[in-house]
Amino acid sequence: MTLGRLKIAPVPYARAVLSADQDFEWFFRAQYPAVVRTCRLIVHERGRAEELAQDAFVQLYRHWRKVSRYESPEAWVRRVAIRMSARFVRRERIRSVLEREGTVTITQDQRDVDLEQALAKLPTNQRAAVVLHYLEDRPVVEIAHILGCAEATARVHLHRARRRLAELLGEEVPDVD
Amino acid sequence: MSIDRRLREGFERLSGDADASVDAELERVMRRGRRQRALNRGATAISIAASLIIVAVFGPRLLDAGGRSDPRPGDEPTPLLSAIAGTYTATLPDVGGGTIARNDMAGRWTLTLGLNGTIELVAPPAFGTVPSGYSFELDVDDRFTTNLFVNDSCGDQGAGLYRWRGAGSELTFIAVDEPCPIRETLLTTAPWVIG
Repeated sequence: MTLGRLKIAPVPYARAVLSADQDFEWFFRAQYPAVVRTCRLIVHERGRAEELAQDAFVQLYRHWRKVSRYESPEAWVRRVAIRMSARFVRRERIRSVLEREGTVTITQDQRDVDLEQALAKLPTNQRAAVVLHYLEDRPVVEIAHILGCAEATARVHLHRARRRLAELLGEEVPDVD
Repeated sequence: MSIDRRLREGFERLSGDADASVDAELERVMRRGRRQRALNRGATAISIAASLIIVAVFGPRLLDAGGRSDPRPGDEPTPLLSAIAGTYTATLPDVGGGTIARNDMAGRWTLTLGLNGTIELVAPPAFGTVPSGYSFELDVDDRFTTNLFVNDSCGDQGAGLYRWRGAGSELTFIAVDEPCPIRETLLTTAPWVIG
């Protein structure tokens, strides 16, 4: 059977000669900061974002031999991190409703509170899409792959997020390309 | 300022620097990962040992009691798969919002897990026909891996990993590593009942 090996690509020679741990270390150093930044914008807490990114990389480490042979391990770890972040946001929303707070806590060191508050008003998928696009410069096709949805759906998430953020921030919305 | 520029510059500022402690984080992640791997290996070894003991003690008795004829070569079901093989049904509730409503999944589903690892699925009429050719694997650690809905409702999201439990006539799945919400909703929303 080929379960679990559906997207395996041949291992490039240069990477094959590294040990699995060395390979993982290289990948971690290249990708971890970006994953933390992405999680940070989804969950709005630096410390929590680091924890979530670590959890995602622990999962990656456990499955590294398999995932490292996928076409896009960076998409895999982002998908796991975003899924964990979305669960965290959902739990926080429930907790906040239960505590009748209703708003996201804003920490002291934020320099663009308006943007952070506007971002917090978006549904998690829209938030992830807009962060992947504007922070990580990822095209729609990659956003769709990471979010696990169709390209058209990712485009809709991005379009709605952009329009809503412009409305909340009072910014111009140039014609969509 | 255009919204695009505001978002690029704002996100860059908000996301902050995350490079300062990469080495420390790497060490922590690898330590946790190794510990989890070791735990997993230990649990697998215990499961294998337990399975071997069960087979050694009860296997001959079961074969004698069954008095069955010799199986034909190539016709033997995998022992692991026979633990779960059968036809099950589950009814997904018609609730507003969520994956079920968005994908017309409400209704009665019939799931047939074959002795050769194949999956046949009959969906409610609103969902439409499910292609055949999907499959599943079990391991000794009660893990169930399936490519159900891959290249269909799950797109290219790959296989899902679950733990399964059989109690009486009910089969339940718990998602362990599942990239596809539709498959997770189908397998985990309601227990699967034999029949």
